[in-house]
Amino acid sequence: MIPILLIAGNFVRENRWPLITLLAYVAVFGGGVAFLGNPSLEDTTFLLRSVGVYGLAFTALLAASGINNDRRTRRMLAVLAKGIHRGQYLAGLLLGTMLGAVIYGLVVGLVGSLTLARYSRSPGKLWELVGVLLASFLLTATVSLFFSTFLHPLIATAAAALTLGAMALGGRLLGGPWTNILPTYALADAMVSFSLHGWHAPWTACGWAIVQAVVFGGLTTVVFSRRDIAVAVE
Amino acid sequence: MSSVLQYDQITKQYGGFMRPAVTALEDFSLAVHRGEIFGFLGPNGAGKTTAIHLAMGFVRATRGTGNMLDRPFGHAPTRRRVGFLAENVALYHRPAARLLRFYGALNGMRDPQLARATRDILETLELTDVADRNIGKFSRGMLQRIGLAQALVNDPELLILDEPTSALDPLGRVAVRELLLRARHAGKTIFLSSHLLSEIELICDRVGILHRGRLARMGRTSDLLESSEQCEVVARGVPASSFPQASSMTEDGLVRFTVARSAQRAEIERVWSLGGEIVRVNPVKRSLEDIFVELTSVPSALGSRLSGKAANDQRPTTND
Repeated sequence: MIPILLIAGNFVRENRWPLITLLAYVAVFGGGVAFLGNPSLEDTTFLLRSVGVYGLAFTALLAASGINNDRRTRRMLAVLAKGIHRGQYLAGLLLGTMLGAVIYGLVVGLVGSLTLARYSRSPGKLWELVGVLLASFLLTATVSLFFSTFLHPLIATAAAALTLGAMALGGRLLGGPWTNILPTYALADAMVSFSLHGWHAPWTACGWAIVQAVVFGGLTTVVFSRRDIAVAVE
Repeated sequence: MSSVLQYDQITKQYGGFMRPAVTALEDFSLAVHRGEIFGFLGPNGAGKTTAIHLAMGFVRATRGTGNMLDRPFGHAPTRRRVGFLAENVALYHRPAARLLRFYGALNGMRDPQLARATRDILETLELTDVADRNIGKFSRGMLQRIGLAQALVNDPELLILDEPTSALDPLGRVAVRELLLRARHAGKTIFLSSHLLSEIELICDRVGILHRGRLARMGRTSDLLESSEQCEVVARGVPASSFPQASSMTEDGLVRFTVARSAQRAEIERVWSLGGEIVRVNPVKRSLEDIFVELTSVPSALGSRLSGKAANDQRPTTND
């Protein structure tokens, strides 16, 4: 477990500037609009939905670039020369991505809670949305990481988007239990339709998202364990 | 003698899917014995780095098997007992001491052992003064030293070093050479790939020369350097003119000349027949460079199949 934590911490440190920039955007822009402007409740919920989408894009790109960056810079060699399994390395990258995602979710939740406090509204639904976002981030990160084991990060991100999109389409078309089993449609719908009234978090779909993240994590380990990772000196 | 690193008829090909396959190693067999410093030589693109990456588990063999410390290549827990330095050191940009702690901890080391090992290795490699400086600000020589430090911090049984002194100044090279000799004295095994033939000649017990994916020559360094084909004869009391091949006649009347081993007996008898006296007969010493050039300037059968430079250019990991 310690190697995974070390790699995760290092991954967050390596990606601290994009993460800080995104957090600053949420904190400064979101906070600024909420406290200096006079947004309506609808504007606030729209902002909360949009930062969710930013978070998804950020998570996908972050997860997809981890392997490629370490490989291109040859830093991967010194790490995988140590007594760790490739699965531990991948788990470290995924945990690092999710640490960034959790920090992002917390900042969204805090800024949103402070904004809602101005309207004397309970932030309970908002924190449920943060939970849904984190489940979505996890699935997105795992699928992106899977494709990044054999594709360029940008292509991997596109492939992840296509896969998740296909799952959403399948869930929508098949309906019934498939809406939860192929959870992306349910998660996306929950994000887009978020409101403080009459909105319910799709927890079953979140559970399936976590299950699928585990499956994709396993697949990622299998594929990456069979890959040659050395690259030529630049 | 037990082997700590063993390649058994390993072939490694790159490409193959939508690209022509390129053979980096073919039927490569080698055994590195415990407690020795093994010099691994070869021209650029010979397959040295591929061989090292196979041992570390970075790439997988197309055919054949290999063992490192009695475990198959790629066995993760075994790598805790190995120190590895890649050519062109690439490490995360963090303060030197923290970086060493990071890599040591990845190898399962914990405080206080890790703190002590970090302090000791920084001191040994004269990096104590820059322990808190981010390595992103290091010179190339300092980077190479921190690279060596991360390879040594876990006190490994086996050291696999790819060009460990290429960026060092002469003093740095001497320091690393002494460090490696001390490591051997402490019972460590060192597998050393280098282009610095003089370094190899000075410290390696055995040498293997790789050429176009095949082991062209292997043996004890002293045996390789000793020519089996020629010897130097030093005689006294004979005119130098009697021996056209004589290189010089010294002030004390000594005549030196080099003869083929096959003609050695006849030449000695000629010295005697001329009333001279043999002072000594020694095998001619060659430099590793001579042997290296001799072996690697002749294309091997495999090399001719690979169509020379084109093959080298396509090979992804042959950065040696």
